Amino acid sequence: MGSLKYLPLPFRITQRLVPFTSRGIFTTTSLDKARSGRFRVSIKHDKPLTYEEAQKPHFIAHRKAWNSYNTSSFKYFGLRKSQTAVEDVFIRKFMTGTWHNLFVSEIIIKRQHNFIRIAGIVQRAVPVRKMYFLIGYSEELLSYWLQCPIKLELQTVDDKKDMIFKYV
Amino acid sequence: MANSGRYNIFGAKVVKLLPLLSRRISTSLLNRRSELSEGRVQHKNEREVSIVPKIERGPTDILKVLASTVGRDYTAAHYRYHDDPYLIPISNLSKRSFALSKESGRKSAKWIRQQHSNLFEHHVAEPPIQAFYPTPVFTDEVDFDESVLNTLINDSHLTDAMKVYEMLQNKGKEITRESKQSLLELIAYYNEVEPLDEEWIEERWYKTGILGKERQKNTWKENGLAEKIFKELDPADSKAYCAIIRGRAKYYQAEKAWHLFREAQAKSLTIDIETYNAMIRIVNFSRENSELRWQLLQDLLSEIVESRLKPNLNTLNSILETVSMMGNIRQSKSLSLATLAEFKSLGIEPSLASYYYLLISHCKDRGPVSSILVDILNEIKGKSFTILDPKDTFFFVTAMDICRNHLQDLDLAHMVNTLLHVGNNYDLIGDSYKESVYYRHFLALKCSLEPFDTFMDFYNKLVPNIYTPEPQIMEEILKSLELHEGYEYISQLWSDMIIFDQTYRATLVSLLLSIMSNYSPTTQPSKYLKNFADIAWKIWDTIETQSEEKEKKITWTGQMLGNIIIISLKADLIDKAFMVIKKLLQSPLDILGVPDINALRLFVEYAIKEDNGVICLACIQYISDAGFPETVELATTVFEKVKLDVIQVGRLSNIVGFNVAEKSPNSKYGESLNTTTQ
Repeated sequence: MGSLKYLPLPFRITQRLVPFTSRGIFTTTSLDKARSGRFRVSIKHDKPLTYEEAQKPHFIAHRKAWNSYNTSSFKYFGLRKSQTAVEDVFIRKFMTGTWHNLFVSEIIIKRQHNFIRIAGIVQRAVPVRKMYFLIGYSEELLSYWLQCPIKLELQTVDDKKDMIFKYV
Repeated sequence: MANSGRYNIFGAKVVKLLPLLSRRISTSLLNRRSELSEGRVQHKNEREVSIVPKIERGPTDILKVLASTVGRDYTAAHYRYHDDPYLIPISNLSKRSFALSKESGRKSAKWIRQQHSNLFEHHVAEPPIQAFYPTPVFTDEVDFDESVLNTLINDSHLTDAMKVYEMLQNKGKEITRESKQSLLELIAYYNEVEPLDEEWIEERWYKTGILGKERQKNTWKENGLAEKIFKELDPADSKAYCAIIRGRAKYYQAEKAWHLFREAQAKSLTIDIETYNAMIRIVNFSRENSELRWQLLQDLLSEIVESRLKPNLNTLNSILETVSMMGNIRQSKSLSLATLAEFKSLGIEPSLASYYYLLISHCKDRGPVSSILVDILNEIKGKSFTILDPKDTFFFVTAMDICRNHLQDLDLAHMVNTLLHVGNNYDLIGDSYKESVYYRHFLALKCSLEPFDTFMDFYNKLVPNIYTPEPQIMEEILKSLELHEGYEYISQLWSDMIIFDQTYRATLVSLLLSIMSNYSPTTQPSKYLKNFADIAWKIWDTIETQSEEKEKKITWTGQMLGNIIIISLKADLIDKAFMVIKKLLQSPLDILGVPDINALRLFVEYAIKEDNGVICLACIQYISDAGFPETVELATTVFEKVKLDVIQVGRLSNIVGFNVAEKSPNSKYGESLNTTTQ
């Protein structure tokens, strides 16, 4: 019987031969590579990234800010983390779907008291009248759905290419 | 009115409070000092400290006060527009279009909610907010009773209330007399036409308002639901009679209103003051000439006195309205003043509508000039008004109109403007049409009476966020510019014309061109010449390249082309002038009229300098075709100064009708001949 213990090392040892006389179970955490929020380098290096996309998630609060601002984790304000998260998903899907190919940035959602402010950067692809129609429509419909006042705070940008921070 | 003292933190109440507070502080200090210095003479607190009663503050009073400290931001667009340079409108059309398209977005969202009402019934808000739920639809299946009808009447949902009432009747349900009465009042007030929902603020703001007297015709719905309910309320009591009389009078069904009125009086029912007010308003529609009308009015007023009713503000305004349209101008003037005096003695403060009626009675277009506006403004100086009568919104526009057209007084206009900006008075400007007319009069007055620099300062403040000038006002501004020689502002006004979409206005463009061409830089610096030439060239490009299908097409006039020639030549852009002349000469049928002879003369001079015989000849041809008497003189000049060959001389002679060579022996032609012969 071998007295060598199983070595809980994160990397595979190929150089040395370690005799294992018993089969054990993995007791480490699942050590997958972090892949979320990161864009892989393209072959031709022509994939455009906005500033937010270019910063990896560990830069949040350093070079990057959040996309949702709310007090849902406070017990005093009702502790509605899950409802808020679901509402945020709904808002983002709704905005992206209503504004066809118009948003060129992330949709920022800020909640203050019972007020929801939705911010984002929109490209000037449609005439101004249509933009105003969409503004009125989104504000009104979302306020009916979420039953609180909604305000859109949009900024327009001439060209999608103005948002590109780097090519990867 | 009761609120006016409440949030007046910086007003009188605090002024009283501050010295009191300081007194309190000083007395307490005195007391302490006297405690410390025992043995010394004690300073007794002689003054009585009275505690001021607590001022009840509302939840948003502090916000209102903070808002009152911030004046109007002249650099920002109105709050209804999104704060982004792409989304801020400048021309009048775009302002209207953006506001209304946002509202149409809201309307479509509401429609979707109604269509799919089953999806929007979740309750998220605690307590539930009714405005976010779909509006209930009343169908036959649902069982409801009278309380539903009462809530609908309270919320003023006219069509729903009428529908529910009919459904209740069909089902044979019992409806109380009070419900019928309130329904009758609702229907009579609106004449069965659903009013525009208060939610649609932009539509209300932009609804085309008719300034002044609209055609008042009988629109009362005969045999409508109101009449039916009135019959059901048999035996009708005084409240029912009053409701239906008022409804009929409001919608100008004068005869029947009088019929019911006399019927009610015959039955000795008490008629309230508002019904009398409504009857006063239709006096002019009930009698033919001013004497009879005055007689009827007097009868009504004596009936009010007999019934021991107390007249109110509405009575005052009704009388003034009737009197202003009675027919006899002198009578209406004296009567209006007498009415105002009498109501003042009764203690009823006139509202802005009363002053409006005074203005229209006294300041007629064809009549003696009346300075009643001065007295009115002195009376209401610095006062803050709220809406008390629908016609209150007519006051400011009418006042500014009178300042401009009737009195031509700039100081008075400034007084009106200051009054408009006191407190919340700006709310009484009415709607977008009245606002634009108000600023139109104000700007036109300023433009004609003020030095141009001061005017342009004011113009830059207003335009484009508060007011965008219409083409007529732009024309007046340009004329004033020409008068005051404010040439430094031309490029600014031209760029304003472009962004207001006024470049397709032929009058404006030709006026601008004539102003620029009249500019002679002998006394002024000539840096503007290049600017003007650029502008003229821009105009040329715009008109030349305008598409055929456009409805508002500018056709070239000879004057315009002449002016462009002058401007280009003054700026030494000779090839541009040549292009314009080519157009003039080649397609004379497209061009209305002929240019000024000065333009052509100037051009010929330049052509002579260039020694371009062909063009000179073509010009002379054109000048003679146009029938100018200066043809001969110019032709001889051309002959003398320009080198021409035989054919050209021949043509020149043909044009003037005589042989130029003989008439002017000292010519280049002659020299060349001499040289050749030698």
